[in-house]
Amino acid sequence: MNERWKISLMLAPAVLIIAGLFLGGLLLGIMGSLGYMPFIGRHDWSFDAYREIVTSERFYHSFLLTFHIAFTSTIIASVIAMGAALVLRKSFFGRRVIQFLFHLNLTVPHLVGAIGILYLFSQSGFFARLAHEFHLIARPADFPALVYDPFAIGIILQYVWKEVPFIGLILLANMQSLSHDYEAVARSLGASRWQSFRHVLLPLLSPGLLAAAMIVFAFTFGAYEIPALLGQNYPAALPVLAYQAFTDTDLNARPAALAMAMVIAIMSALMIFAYARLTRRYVRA
Amino acid sequence: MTEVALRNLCKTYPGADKAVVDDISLHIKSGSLTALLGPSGSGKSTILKMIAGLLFPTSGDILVGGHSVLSLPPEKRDIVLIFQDNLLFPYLSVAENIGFGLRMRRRPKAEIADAVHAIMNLMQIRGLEKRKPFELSGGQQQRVALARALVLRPRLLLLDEPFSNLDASLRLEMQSLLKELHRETGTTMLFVTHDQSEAVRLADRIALIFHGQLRQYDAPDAFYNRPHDRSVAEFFGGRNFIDGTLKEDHFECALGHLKMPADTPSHGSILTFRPENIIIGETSSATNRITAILEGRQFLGERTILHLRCGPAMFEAYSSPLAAASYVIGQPLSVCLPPDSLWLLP
Amino acid sequence: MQERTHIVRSKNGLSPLVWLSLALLVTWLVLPLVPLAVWSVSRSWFFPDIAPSAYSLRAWEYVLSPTSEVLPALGTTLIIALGVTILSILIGLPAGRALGLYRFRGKALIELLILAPTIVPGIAVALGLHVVFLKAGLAGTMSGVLIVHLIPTLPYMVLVMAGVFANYNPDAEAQARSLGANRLQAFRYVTLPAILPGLLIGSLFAFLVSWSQYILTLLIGGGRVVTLPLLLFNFASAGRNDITGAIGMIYILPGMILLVFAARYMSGRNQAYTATGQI
Repeated sequence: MNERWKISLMLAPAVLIIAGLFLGGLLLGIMGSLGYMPFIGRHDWSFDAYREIVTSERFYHSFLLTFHIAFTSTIIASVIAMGAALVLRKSFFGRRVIQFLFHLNLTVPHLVGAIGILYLFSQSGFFARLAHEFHLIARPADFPALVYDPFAIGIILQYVWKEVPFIGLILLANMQSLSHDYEAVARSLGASRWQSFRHVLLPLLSPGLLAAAMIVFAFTFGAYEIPALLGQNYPAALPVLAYQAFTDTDLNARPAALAMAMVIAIMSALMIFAYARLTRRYVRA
Repeated sequence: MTEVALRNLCKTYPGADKAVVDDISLHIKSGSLTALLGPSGSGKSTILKMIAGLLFPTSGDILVGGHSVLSLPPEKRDIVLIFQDNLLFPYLSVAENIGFGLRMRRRPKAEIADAVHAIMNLMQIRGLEKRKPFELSGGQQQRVALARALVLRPRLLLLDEPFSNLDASLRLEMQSLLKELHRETGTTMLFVTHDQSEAVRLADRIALIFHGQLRQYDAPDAFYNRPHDRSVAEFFGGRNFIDGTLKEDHFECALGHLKMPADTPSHGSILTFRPENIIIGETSSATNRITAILEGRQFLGERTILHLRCGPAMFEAYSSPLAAASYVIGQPLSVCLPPDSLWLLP
Repeated sequence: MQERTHIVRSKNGLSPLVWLSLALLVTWLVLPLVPLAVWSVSRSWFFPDIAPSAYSLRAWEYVLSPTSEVLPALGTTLIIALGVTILSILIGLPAGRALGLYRFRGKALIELLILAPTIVPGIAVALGLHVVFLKAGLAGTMSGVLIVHLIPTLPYMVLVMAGVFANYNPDAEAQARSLGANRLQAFRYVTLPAILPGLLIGSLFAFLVSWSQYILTLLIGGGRVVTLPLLLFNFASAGRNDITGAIGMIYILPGMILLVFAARYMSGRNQAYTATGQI
């Protein structure tokens, strides 16, 4: 069999399914957001939905909140994961334990983590009870709002809980494939411990770290169930707002819902683009 | 002055029961080019890493320029180690790689640029400044790695099997480049190799290390003509070992009653001599002349090995292929063993 | 001593501060799961009690009783996740092989197409798809949910298998054929053993990605396909903490069991982790 045919045949089912579902979904989303929804009898093209959401304060607040959640979670998780990976790569007793817990955590769905955070940090949760035990608060309402709160602290805590192991394991896998000797060379050439981290290890790890951070940002920007469980009603995270608009009994809200979905898609496309631009500097060895 | 002294240096890795480096003492002269020679796994690289500060010795001391460097971290030692894989930083250009050490020392940009430019001229790698390491040939990568170290003008340059990953012709080219750089810069250099021909070709002095122990520390020719023991002689390709007893200045063995050189050790029971020092056929000298039977020969291209027997003793001698072809198997040959070519092993 | 060893530090050379942060990290990793476990066996646990004042297995009895909706939901979730995994293997394995072994025109584009769904959130795609599934009669059905779960799982499987095949030498198959193996035997005795660890990891995470899917199931299932995460969410927002705890325990069990089996293949496989951000 001709090689080209063989390759095409092997790829065809996967490519057709992914293109059909993924690109198809996006395309229908774009069309719907522009008002064209032939299935429900709407045929007019317009930018009304986009005009509607960018002028709406509700959307604006949601967008800022969602960006804050995604950005803060990604930065905090990356920093902690990097610290953990640096400690874990040195051989010592606790390493296996933590590595196992990292793997374990990887298999626990976000939703379970979110419920755990709820039971820990809500105003009648474990930490509130602990505070009461030490006479720091008298009533649940005295405990600072860490879930359903304006700063989305509970949501961020949940993402950090889930994403530190994710980024940490990617960093560890990257470190394993790197020669320790790069840092030794740097030290020998006169780099201090900090300099050899800053100028050698970090650049060598940055493709992996950036990839992981990009995935985390895109995920946290578009996840529904965590902010739905731990977030305030207003402003709601963008995916929650989009879902609410989509399931609104008023079908006129649908183009706006789809426009918000497209905003989420554009954010993740921007992430992919930024990642590609940034990693081009670090050409593979 | 950057003379280097190793004092009773030992290294045992955590959890291992045998020392990798076992009580090595060595004095390396300032400005010399010294080889640490030994089979792989003999602890040579560990010694380099301890000198560079990348490993800490279990016991013993390392003195550079008369002062112990053990309390200094690697970046403060002014000693650069070049690894076997050149380990150029893949995300930096050639010029950035070479300027790396100076940048770590926070030198002004203009000074770094000048120094990089100058060393690239010296190493004949001009024009590669903007390239990334993966765009370079193996030889160019090696030159950049050398430039990256030499631009710092370290008081001591350590090289760990620097050319073992290169093909034969490139290795020869890099060896002569290193020799030239050593002459031009006067830097004290210490390199590790498992290849005795490389050690002999490059080094002023060779430290031969077996199983983490120093066997012999000498000029290259001494390893051929004055080896310390049989394992040293064998490592350098020695083939002829004949038992006997020393009687004053003569050695009694199957080859007869042989006159020994003036500096013969007073004890020893094994006679050794290099196959290349044996004279076959007539000479004017009558000292140590014996007759041996030609048992076989082996053509090696530029020379032929003759397998000779004298009584119960077998030994090998080199001959020119042309002369060897004229001999007949079983023919008795007149062989001369000049006294200075003989040596006694314990 | 620590300062003198510079790069390779002694075995216990970590400072107390580092040990403390590691202890904190371990606690933090386990902590959120603890209240779920405790709630599942508590009868009454009111503020400000640190521990429940009474214990019972009531929640477990409810969850495991044949009349509750939990066991059917467990079955639904399991069937969907297994179906999605098998489909992903069948479709993803050849595609991964093509991407891992061959270079061809347009490869970068295809890789981008396959990478994108692992990064773009499901909600961005599913809102647009919803109407098609509705028209095709797939909305509200298990097969509809199964198909939509392919969006995150199939690309993931393709990527993992492409990574596996990139380090695979197909000459081994040719060697087997020249020694008299037929096509099937060559696959069974040469290819499969070589790719099995990667295939296991890929399947494990494809299963878990489907298993943990919430919004895709909610949108396409339309509330008629009830999986465990949907139940879990409902009980959690209704404040039934004891039942939530018990369902939560059941829900995280398969992942942990699978992990124990697959753990030895895991460490150091960069490819395997990169797309697990969706779980």
